[in-house]
Amino acid sequence: MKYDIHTAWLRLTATVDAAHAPRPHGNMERHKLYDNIDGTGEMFMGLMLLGFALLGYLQAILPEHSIWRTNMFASLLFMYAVLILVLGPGYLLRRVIKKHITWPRTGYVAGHSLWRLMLAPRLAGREAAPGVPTRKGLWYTMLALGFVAAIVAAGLACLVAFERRHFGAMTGLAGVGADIWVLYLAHGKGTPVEMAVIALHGAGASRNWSHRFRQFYRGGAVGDVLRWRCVGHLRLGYSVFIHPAHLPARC
Amino acid sequence: MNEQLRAISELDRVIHEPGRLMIVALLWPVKECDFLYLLNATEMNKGNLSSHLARLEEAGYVEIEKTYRGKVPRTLLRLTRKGRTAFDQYRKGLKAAF
Repeated sequence: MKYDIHTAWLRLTATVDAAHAPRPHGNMERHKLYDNIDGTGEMFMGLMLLGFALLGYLQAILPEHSIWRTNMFASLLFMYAVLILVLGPGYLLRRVIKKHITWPRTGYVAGHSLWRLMLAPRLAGREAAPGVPTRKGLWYTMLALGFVAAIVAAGLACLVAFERRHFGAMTGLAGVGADIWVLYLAHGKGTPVEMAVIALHGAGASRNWSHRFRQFYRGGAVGDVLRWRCVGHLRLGYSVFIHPAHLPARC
Repeated sequence: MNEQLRAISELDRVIHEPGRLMIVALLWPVKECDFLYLLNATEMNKGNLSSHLARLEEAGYVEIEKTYRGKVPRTLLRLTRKGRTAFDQYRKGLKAAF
């Protein structure tokens, strides 16, 4: 494996880098390197946490007998409205960054749809092409989707069972979910820095379990938002630094 | 001539050239990309890349779409069905040969 400043940076930010990972079809998976070369993924994660923090704050300041707090369906509607209001502009911002900053520097590349990558070759009974996920990959994806569905179902079940009395525990669950994601990103990259980051995440999640949501949002979420946003912006800055803007391609 | 040598002699010469092989290998796993992506990935110069792409387009392996994003010209590239089949055959041929 090649070690240079680029690799070190990617390891520090616990981001999977297809180009540096030892893979049998490295060239065939090169385009994956471009998926999050600009840190927009981290920025989006930061925005998502901001959405949750805002949601918690608004829930806390709403009047005690407000319909948005007492009625479960109204609470869900409120949650979706707040998240869409925060994540919608975030998605648009991601598109703008890609279009005006990333693609003019790195070039534009679009992968195939999930249908084309996984299901169509299976249904057609063809051998998967290099760079295309195999049957094992399909199973892993289904497993991951099932896991996410189980988490969402568990969250909704908690909401129904405990309502807002145990909202702190639910935010803790969200913290654990974020930890699992970080563990996935850091998988196979056992450097001391990443281990420290994971340990901090674990400590944060356990703290979230034991405190009510106001404490969680006062300290933990704000720190998480800032951390993800900072990592995203630094990564974007680094990407702009190593990829000088090209003149428009004329061929 | 034995089977293995025959497989070598039957390799697609359009794809077999290293520059074009790089291009096809990069286009194979993606839906589409632009000229700049290939320029960065292959580290060829614009002239070389253009001529290889022209050759691939002539063979019907690559579809080149010239568009504009605002006032900026943009060249989108994608592998055609014929190109995918040809690359499949090339891989099989290479595997059979060695």
